[in-house]
Amino acid sequence: MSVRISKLYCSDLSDIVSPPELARQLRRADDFIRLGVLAGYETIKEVLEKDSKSADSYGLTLGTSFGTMETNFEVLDQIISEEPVSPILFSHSVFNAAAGYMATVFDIKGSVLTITDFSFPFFRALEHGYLAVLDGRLDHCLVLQVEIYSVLLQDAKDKVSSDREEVWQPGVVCWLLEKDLVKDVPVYCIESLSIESRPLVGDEVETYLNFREKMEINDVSFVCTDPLATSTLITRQMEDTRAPASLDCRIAATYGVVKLNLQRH
Amino acid sequence: MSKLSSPRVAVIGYGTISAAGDNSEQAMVNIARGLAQSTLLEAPFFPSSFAAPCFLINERSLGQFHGLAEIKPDCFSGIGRTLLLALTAIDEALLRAGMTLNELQYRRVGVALGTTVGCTFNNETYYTDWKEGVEPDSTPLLTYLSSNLAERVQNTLGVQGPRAVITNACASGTDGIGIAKNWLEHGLCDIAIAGGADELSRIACHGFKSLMLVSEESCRPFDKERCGLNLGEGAGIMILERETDALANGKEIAGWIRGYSIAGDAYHPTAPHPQGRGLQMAVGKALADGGVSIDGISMINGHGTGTPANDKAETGAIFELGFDVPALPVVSTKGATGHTLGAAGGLEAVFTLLALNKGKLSGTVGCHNSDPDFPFAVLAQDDHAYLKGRIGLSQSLAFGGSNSALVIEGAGG
Repeated sequence: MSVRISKLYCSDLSDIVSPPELARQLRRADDFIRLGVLAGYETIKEVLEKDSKSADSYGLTLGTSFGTMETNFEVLDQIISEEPVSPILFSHSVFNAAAGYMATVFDIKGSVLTITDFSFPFFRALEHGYLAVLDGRLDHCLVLQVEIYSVLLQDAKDKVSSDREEVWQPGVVCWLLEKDLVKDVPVYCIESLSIESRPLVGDEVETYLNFREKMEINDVSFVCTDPLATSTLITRQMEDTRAPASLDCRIAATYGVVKLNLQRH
Repeated sequence: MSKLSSPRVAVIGYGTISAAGDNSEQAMVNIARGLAQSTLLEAPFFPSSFAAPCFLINERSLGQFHGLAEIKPDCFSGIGRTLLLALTAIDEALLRAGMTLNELQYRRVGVALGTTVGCTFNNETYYTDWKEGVEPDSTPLLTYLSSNLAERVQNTLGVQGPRAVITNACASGTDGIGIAKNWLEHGLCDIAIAGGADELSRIACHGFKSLMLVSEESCRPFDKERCGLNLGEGAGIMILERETDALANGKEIAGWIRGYSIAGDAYHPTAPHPQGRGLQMAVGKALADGGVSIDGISMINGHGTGTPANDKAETGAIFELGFDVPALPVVSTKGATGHTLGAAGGLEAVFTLLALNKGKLSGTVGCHNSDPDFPFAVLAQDDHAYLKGRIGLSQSLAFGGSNSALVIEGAGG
């Protein structure tokens, strides 16, 4: 059995529009939660409309580098200024808040995980989702990377970055993984995925700010300068109907290498 | 990456650090004695005019390494408290596993650790300086960037393999162990270091207070007079290996992680489903994963925070699952450790294993009168139970409606 990537979605925060049917659920949501919920909505909307899902066969794995950083600072502001902390703000500052919201909005009752890593968060989440579908723990798994960053982070990045003009755009990438049982439309399937980590020494941690990932897709090279860029690029490639049937992706950075092979069938 | 044919995942080492004790052995003794070693904290941890007990570790035990003492001191530079807690528990776990750092270099070592506080950047000096337009000293930010728990543990130990920092709130430590089990089953690593760690943070103190979940007195999990949780800090770690490899390597097996599952309430951001819907699903699936029936379970180490909603939902779920309560002893260890958030699942998995191996379970510290509104009575402080078997459950509930369960078998002895 292989694992198919049935649906894809990626967007910058500035491009998303909340559909009216989610207005009630998202009325108190921060941007991190909003990005996750809207990506989930766009990705499994059709499945929800069919209303044939078994809630515990659905799961999600959300990867992030910096999590709910801006909301964390809002809580910190309240504490420093000795104001009462807003319980809603605090609950939204917990890193799995977006995954929890998504589970509630979409009635997802299977495995719901949030994974935090500065290096390759999307691919680490993908590894978990892939294993969960592969060994039958889930039939369907949303895999996401959500990043909102913060102004503080952008300032820190600008101090060490060789490209100070660049602003990291908050955004989301989301794939729906499913068991490759129904072969109605050709889609990309995950043939192999490996993640190798390399230890960073001393000031090398600045690479998480002075961000450079070199990606090759079928020998075409890209230099990616923000944490969402590689997963976005692969998503765009898969969305392109002229893309080849095989996508051999290799991402190299100071902190390691990801190899991902996708085959359309 | 295909699943190996159901390899048994053995526990070959374990370690803890918590307010209950500097190591796992001491913690079990103190839990049996009913000790609640908390410290009353007020501002700045809590808002002014509020104070509550918190469970802090013995400062002298932090970073007192055995095997890890051979690591060069500069590897520990700029190390955060959560990481130090994790390494202290890992040191005990490796010692118990009879495993040297050198031995680890030749194996693929997965690191799956849960945390909540340990993944956030909350340095107030840096933040305040930045906000006021003062050039902040970059040290705290660089420390944050070098403190991803699993990454830094791998780097400090000099090991390679899969890694994950699970930030699933209060179930993170349980999920860490479950994820490591999956890696071993899929052959992604040879050894796994799994569990959770969290330091006490004033953000968590203020946050839980804002949710009106903090008790101003020592917490009383499952007690009829319970009125909230106490926060704590600590780390709980297991060293896991496929049983066949452990035996081939001459390791002493302390027990097995038989089953794991995670399931969602899909109900509320911070409150559990009143009937523990997700917990019931998680426990059912973990039992199925381990090939264990409800009758095969001889104890449950509950999440048991001491909040009215958690304890009621949890006992309701256990009852509805059809366990033979009250013959089946159910406890919480949070009366001795406080709620250690991302560390809780790791600590409680170790305590479950040790109780199973001893064949005797100590009652819930802080619980003097089990709430009569529950469908059964939990094992109260000063009580104990001799276990009918060697398989038990350790379960966690979390914000976001996430529920996780581990089926643990003790090897005895």
